[in-house]
Amino acid sequence: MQQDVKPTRSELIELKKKIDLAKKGHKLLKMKRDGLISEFFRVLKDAKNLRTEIVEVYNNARHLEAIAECVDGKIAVESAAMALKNIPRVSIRPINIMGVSVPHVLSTGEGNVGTVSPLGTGVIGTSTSIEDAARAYTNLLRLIIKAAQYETALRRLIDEIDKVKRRVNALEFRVIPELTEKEAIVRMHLEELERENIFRLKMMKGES
Amino acid sequence: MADGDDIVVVGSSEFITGFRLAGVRSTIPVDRNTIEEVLLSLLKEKRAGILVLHDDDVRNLPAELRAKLWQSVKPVVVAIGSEPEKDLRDKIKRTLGVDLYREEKK
Repeated sequence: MQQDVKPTRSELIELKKKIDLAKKGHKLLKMKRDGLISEFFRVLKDAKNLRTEIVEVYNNARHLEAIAECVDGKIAVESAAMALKNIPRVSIRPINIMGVSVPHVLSTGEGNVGTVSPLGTGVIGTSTSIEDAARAYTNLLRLIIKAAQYETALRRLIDEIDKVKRRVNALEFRVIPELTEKEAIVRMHLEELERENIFRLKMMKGES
Repeated sequence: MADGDDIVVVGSSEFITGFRLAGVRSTIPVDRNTIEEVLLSLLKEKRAGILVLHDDDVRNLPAELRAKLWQSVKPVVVAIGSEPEKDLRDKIKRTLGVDLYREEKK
């Protein structure tokens, strides 16, 4: 490392500029990392609660679907599914959290949510077991729409935190110490040259 | 047709039937051999808003495709069926130094 340092005044000025820039970058990246972590914890809280809820609702929905298939038969369940008119749709808009693009999910159609009969076929159109299964899956779908934005945001945020953390560590433990060491070498060489000059001048003064 | 993007459910025929009861029209039955091809085309087309998969299917995908799925903003991928994936949990543990999922359970 010492070989590629030129002991000149301009090199010293250049190194000082680089150290200042690295320190500013380090400070900013640390602030970004802290901001991302706080955002991550906010998202994590919602994501964790939703994940647990989804697992429970999904297992319940599977159970109700199995009952419906046993009671009414697979064909009846499938034909009930075919009769649906309301199709749930979503609108995905990417939002930016400190340079990380995360999805913002909006439900543009609630499907069958909120109607008296989840299937929209009327109270005598299908059996109660199919109605129950449909209601459970509608509830599951509502949770999935909610969870969609949180889970992707969580993954993208943790990736970005990891990246920023590596950069902060590289600046803190490698770049800044190396530059500081180089600066010390250049400073030492320049001081040495100055001392040599003073000594040379004194010698010349003594001879004359 | 209403505004917005579709919710697409990809998985075994048992997995997708229930979602049809909730009104999801875009359901794609797949098996282990066809799932990769279907997912790649869905990622490329971007016609889906949310892509619903089963955790077991996601676990069996190649790591590269799995990473692509998790990084996708549109479609947003949601895997259901079990607790959060082990690699996400490990990554959180490695990055933050704390097993946050474990703490919550205590």
